[in-house]
Amino acid sequence: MKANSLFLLRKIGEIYLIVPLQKKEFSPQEILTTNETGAFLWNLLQKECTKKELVSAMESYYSIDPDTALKDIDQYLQQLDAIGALS
Amino acid sequence: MKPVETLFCQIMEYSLHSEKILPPETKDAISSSLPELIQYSKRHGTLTSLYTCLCRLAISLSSQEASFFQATVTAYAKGTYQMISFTQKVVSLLKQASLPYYLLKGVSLLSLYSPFECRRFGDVDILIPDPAVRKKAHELLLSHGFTQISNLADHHWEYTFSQHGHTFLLEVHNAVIESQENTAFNQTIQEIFQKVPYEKGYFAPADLSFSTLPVTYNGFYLLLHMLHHFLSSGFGIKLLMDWCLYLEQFHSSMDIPLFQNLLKKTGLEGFYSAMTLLCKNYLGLSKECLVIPIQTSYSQKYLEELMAELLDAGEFGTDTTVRMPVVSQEQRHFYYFHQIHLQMKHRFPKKSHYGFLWPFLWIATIFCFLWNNHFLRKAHTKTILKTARKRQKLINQLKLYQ
Repeated sequence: MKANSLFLLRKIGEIYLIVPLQKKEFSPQEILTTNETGAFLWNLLQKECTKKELVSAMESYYSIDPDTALKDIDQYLQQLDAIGALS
Repeated sequence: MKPVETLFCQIMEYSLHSEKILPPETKDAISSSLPELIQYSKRHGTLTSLYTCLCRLAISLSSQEASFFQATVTAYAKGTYQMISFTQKVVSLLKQASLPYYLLKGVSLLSLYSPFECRRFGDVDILIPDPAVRKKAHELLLSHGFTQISNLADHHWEYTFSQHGHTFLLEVHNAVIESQENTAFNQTIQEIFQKVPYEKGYFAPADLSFSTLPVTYNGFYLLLHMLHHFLSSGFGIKLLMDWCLYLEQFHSSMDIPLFQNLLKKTGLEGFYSAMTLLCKNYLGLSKECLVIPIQTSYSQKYLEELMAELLDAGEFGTDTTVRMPVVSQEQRHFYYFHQIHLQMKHRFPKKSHYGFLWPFLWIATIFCFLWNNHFLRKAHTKTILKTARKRQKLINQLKLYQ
């Protein structure tokens, strides 16, 4: 999977938003507010990668156990999918 | 100026310049004055700038303050994204119909800021000087679901467009600013913007191409826009920040003799000098950007009073005090009468068709003004007039249109 290139990550102070700015028209429901971890995963998704790779990257960067990482990633990917941010 | 106002200016200066370093004592002062600074930023539409500064300075926030910033800045950013999307829609329509236009302010200013979400805007402004093209644009907009709404201004038509539960405002301008009390000035402005070439603009984050004014004219327009609001009821620090960043980014690509000529023709050398000096003194505009010589000098005291007036006005002068337009010179009695007449037309759209009723309607309009001041705005007419007189004195020193 990979991030949809029409979506951009925006950082305002410590606020992170994923926005379909490159789409010609979009609704506010297509904007996702996320956090630093979400931004970290989004940057990984700029290249084609698997869920396993995301879990492993999160495990080593944040030193968390694989189950928690997998749970968080699943939830996040669902949110991204719901707004069409994955291609 | 109050110490908190000086501090507010320092933070705004810091927000514009990523290389700037604030001394530790300023950081402490920010922490202790945060509630007041939040109020100032709210009034001036610069809350996102304040928030990014607080993050840069790693100032700790209470959980209440953190939630407030998180919610407000996110909402503002979403508003900006929606406005970008709406701009995209408007310019695409005009482009598809091959109708020439200039995009004013809005998206064209976003690139000056980092992050661009620091610059909020609430409407889209398009300039179409040619009446025939404007008529075509009007028909095009109506056929695409835009609704024209009535407004008092003589320099633009207003349209609303509803989408995703949000109503957007579009202003299609026939002139860059509203007519001022000086007829020769209005005529000159009209002539200047009649034959300006179209320049391509691009806002990369949204892959948005648009047509806009060339750099020198755009700079001159920003100045005119400030003047227009300054004379109406004042403007806050936001427009001054635009001007500061614009000079910093474009000073080397501006046509200096042309800009000087525009200032000379319109008699705005004093206004340009004052606004630029404010940027230098309060927003850290560097000397290298002052490529257009400052021809009028102002005392430090005058500049401080002028800055205090801008800060008092809040964003577009609609803030704490009720304000009324002020004018530059001896034609002011006629100008105020004209304003009363316009307000009368707005308040009594049908009755004002009958000329013989005007004297009664003028009196009724004045009565409504006094009544509203007292009962709705809870402001004393005397205070409003006093503020206007103070502003009048400041304006007189700018020697506008001379």
